[in-house]
Amino acid sequence: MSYDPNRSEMSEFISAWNSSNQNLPYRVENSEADYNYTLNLNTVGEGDSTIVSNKITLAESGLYGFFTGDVRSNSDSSPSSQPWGDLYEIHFDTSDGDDSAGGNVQRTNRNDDQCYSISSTAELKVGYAYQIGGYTLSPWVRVLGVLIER
Amino acid sequence: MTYTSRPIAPFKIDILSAGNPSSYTAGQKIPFTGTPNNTTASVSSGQITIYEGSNWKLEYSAIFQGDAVTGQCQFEIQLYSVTDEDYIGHSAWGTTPNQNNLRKGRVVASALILSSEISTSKVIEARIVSQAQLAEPTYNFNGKPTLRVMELPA
Repeated sequence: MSYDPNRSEMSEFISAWNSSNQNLPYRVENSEADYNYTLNLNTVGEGDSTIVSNKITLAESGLYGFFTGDVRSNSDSSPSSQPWGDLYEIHFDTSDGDDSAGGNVQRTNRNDDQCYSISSTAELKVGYAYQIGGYTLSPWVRVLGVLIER
Repeated sequence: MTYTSRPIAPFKIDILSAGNPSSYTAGQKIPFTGTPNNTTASVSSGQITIYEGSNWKLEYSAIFQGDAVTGQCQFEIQLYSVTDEDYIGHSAWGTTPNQNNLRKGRVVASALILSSEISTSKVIEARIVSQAQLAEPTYNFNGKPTLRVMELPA
């Protein structure tokens, strides 16, 4: 069994983000589609975790985190047709909760635009989108977490 | 061999789903669904029951749609103690342009209930306080509403 003698000094908090802007899918049709699009994470801040293929993984097996995901994006790219706002949802790929999806609607606040999960890993996804375009604004693709009991 | 505990936040949490009210009028219940796996809370008839002996933080994230054409709506939703017959905590506030949009707020209704405020148990639901053009979300891109139930040591 691996044992880190410094574990009592480790943080119970986790933070990670993408340090670069990331292009989003582009859609202006008047219907929705499921993009299952992974948002990049490349920087670990607080906590003892790693990022492998944009997925946060906790350092020890048997640990679980309560994660919050958030995205800020800009639809002001230069497409031939401009998306009306950004109408899409974000979610974590895994959660032992009933749901993890939150909305993301620019210029209105009729949805909670964060998503949540309880899991040992955290990968942030763009799922269904009605209108979407532009890019994420660094470092506002971010995941915050706290280690919890189960 | 002596092991040293790793720091872990001393609370348990469940993420539950939420449904839609039977009608979009003030006073209507927004039902909670699902079964808590990690906390000692329970769900029945769309209401959550929490118990004395723990402190509780509840957060309901609202997801709704507005007018079918314009998308406009306005609403306030708050947690309601059925036991005490009173609204509790901070309300969720949603607006779109042209709908009282000067008032801004987070679209999350939350409440911290201390064990000392609970006599054996407390039954809580979410209710529409007020609304205009609020509608059931018919598209997946709106996301999904959730109730986060956090049980903290008293």
